[in-house]
Amino acid sequence: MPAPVLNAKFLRSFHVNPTPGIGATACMGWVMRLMFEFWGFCVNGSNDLVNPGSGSMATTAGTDFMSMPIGWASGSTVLLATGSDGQTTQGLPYFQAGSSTPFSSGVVGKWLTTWQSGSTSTDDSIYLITSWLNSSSIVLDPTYGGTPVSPIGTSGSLPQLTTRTNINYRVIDYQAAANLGYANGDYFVMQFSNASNVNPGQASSQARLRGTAGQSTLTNFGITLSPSGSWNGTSFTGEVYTEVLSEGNIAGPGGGGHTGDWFFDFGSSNGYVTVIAGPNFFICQIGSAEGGFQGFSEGGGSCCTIEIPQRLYPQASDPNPICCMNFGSTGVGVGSQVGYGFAHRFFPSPYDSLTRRWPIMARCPTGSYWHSTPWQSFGIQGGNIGRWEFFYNQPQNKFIAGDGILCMATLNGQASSAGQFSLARARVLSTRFTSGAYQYYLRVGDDHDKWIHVGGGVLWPWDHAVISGRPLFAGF
Amino acid sequence: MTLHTCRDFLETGVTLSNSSWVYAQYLTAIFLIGTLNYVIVGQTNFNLASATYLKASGNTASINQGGNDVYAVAVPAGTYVVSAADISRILVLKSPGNGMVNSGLFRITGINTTNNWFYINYRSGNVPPVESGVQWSVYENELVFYGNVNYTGNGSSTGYTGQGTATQSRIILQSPSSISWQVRIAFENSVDTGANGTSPSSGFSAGATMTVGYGGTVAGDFTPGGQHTHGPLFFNNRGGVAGNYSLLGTSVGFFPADNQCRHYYWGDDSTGSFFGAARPVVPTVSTFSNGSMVHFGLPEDEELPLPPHNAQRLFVMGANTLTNGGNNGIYFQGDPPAGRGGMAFGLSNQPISCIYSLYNPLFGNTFGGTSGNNPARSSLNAGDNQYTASTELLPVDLVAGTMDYMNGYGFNAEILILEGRRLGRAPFLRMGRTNYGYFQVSTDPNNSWLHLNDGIYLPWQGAILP
Repeated sequence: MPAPVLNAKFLRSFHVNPTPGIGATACMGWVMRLMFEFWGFCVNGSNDLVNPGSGSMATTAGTDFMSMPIGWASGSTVLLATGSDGQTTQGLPYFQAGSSTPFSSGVVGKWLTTWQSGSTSTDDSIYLITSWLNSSSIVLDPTYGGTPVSPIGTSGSLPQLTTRTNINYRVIDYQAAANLGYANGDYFVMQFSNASNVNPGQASSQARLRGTAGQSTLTNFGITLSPSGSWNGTSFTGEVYTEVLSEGNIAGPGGGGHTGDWFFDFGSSNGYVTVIAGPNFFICQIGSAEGGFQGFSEGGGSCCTIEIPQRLYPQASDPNPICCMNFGSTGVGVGSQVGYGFAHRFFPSPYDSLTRRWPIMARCPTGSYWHSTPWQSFGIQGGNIGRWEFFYNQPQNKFIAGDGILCMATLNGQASSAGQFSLARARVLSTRFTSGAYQYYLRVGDDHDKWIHVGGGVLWPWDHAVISGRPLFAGF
Repeated sequence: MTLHTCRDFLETGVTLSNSSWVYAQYLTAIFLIGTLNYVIVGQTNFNLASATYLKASGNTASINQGGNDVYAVAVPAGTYVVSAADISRILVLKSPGNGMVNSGLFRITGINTTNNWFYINYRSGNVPPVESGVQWSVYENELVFYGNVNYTGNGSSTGYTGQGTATQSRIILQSPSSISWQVRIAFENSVDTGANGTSPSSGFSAGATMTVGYGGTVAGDFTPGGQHTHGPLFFNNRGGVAGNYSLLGTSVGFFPADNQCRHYYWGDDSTGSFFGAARPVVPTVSTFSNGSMVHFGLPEDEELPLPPHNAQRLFVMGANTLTNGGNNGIYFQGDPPAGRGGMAFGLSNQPISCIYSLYNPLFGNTFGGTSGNNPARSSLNAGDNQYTASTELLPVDLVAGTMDYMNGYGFNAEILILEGRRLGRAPFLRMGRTNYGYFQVSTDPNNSWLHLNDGIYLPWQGAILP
């Protein structure tokens, strides 16, 4: 089966360095604001410099796609500058406004969103402004987005800005957004208006992302899926799918596993946020590399994935597939006996309006099921096979990486329904699977089919970029 | 591609003490030649072109003479005159338009000398479609082959002895594929297998093997170091001597138990790919454990770009030990000691492993509600799919080079190079739920699929005998 063209864009290890004492609530606000910005502008932006791109949010009028503090999206303390005359030059870190003077010296330490409407360039991202040169020119850290120069070995895989003009841009103060007064239940509703490009005839499915109460205010995170895209400005209509709250208490390879919350309410710490998204999928991962349990938790990153999977059944019987996974402070792993972690997606059923865990199946590279004897003393847990060389072809210098399909057989410990046995309802496009024994951050693939190992045998879309100075997938 | 099936050919003999593993080699070979148009490259004591076995052949038979003679096959008297001696022989047909039902092996049960007809056991509740221009050949029955076969050989004590001047029966056939790949069907030398009085575990393979590759000789051998999938022959080492079991299981074959079997074959007359299953009439070990299966040829939907050598595109799956007495059963490949395995030819230009790569949950021990490593297809609550109102079938991939040993000796037997590579999709085969009936056809109007066992489904057409 050919590899999907995901048109992924990247926000690579966004460094959150909050004022001490910001707390978990602000951390959640910060991260949700990043999600909003990246999805609404970097992935789906039009030439509107204030509002997210047309179709990217489930709006029926105005800003009824969200319930957030006043000024959260585009208030004057949050949105500091905009323009559409941005210019960058291949290999240089400078961002220049062609004909305007939007930048003050105060933008240093703030963040620049860049995009072009309809672009698939990975330059469309969010960048730390590291220096102010003049009112038209600033210096960015290109490694947050950018495009790796290829081939590898000539100038490495360091992401660089490419030569572009007429770039749309916004300067955002995320600290200011984080410090707004949040309440449990604040949300925004994203929309997948390109879903029909994956599955013919599919509606623009939607997902409400919501900060909720966990151990403390807004420490947890919830996703409510709407396959038919029924947001009416205040709720989903005609669909009642259970909110998918983050799962936890699972030890991942990183040693984490404290609670199911996305954050801990013990003050603040340096956090790192990576967003990988394309028109039909959205991945957000957060964590910290520091000790202690402060806001961003170390040793157990949190993560969500929302995507339009490839439909494998007739359209009439499965018109609008959309699925997600969501876990808090657990690190990354594919396995447990009840299907947590990366080994499943929550998937609404069109037959009984319930959202259940659907285990992900991948092709076993060593036979008809996961064997134990070929590895003897090596532990095996699904794809987490101890001997990575089973997946590597030296003559080809190529790795075996399998796609995943969602199945709903009867599974111990999980809700299921008699008569709903299903071997392969949909194909997951945003994640692949390989040996869990591979090193973290191993980059595999070529052409548009590039992936990175985030641990536990889980591969995410990537572009061969190498990041130094900031921990990638912190907490995993 | 035109698919031809042999639907349920019943061996002669007695139910509980037959020589199915010997018959299986013969029946497969005459199906490959007579139905799929394989040609003989070389042989030793396996001369299927001789008058001993091949009695006649032609291209203008007709089947279903109407009235009370729907199971009569007419052949031109100018080519061959039927006689009572033909009764119990095997009529091999290649149908020009009904390959799923009128092709295959059919027992001759009677004759009509007036019209020069064979009466055949059609082994189906259906009436044959009327058809002419059928390719036909008459072969001697399998008992004659059994009487002539040489499976004791004269091997020496070193290397792989079943080659060159060795006398055990073997044959190399060339497929009709445009890339002209070959298959070797060989009764393995008793010295190599350790059979014939020696502990089977000291041998390397099943009592008979099937090997795909290139470079077959007039003696019916591939060569040591050549392009083929036979581990002991490639390394010229039977590898079954004490202290060195590394090659055990690195050659595979068609090896049903010694019970009378019913044979079901599938073959593509353009690629030459073949799937064979032998189903015991009366299983003695358990309902599903007897019998055997073999599968070889060219994958479908091959991974691109193609490898540099055509041998690196081939695969063979089947029984790979004597250790369970031939009760290899019809299963997807299990752990290496299970008596089933697969081989391919690597980019490293050596034989490497090959497996059926099935979709399984990313974590084990969960499906089915029971202990043990139950894959999803074995879910106890599996049923028809609500979304499609049918039993769901998934294609099966062939992946080579992901096992470095093929037997129960584990790390002490690591000899195969690891170079994991998807070859392509397994021809004909689909994976589905395992709790569908044993050798039961699907319930759609055309009975389009046959479930053999263990979730293995193959194309079918029409009714099946119970």
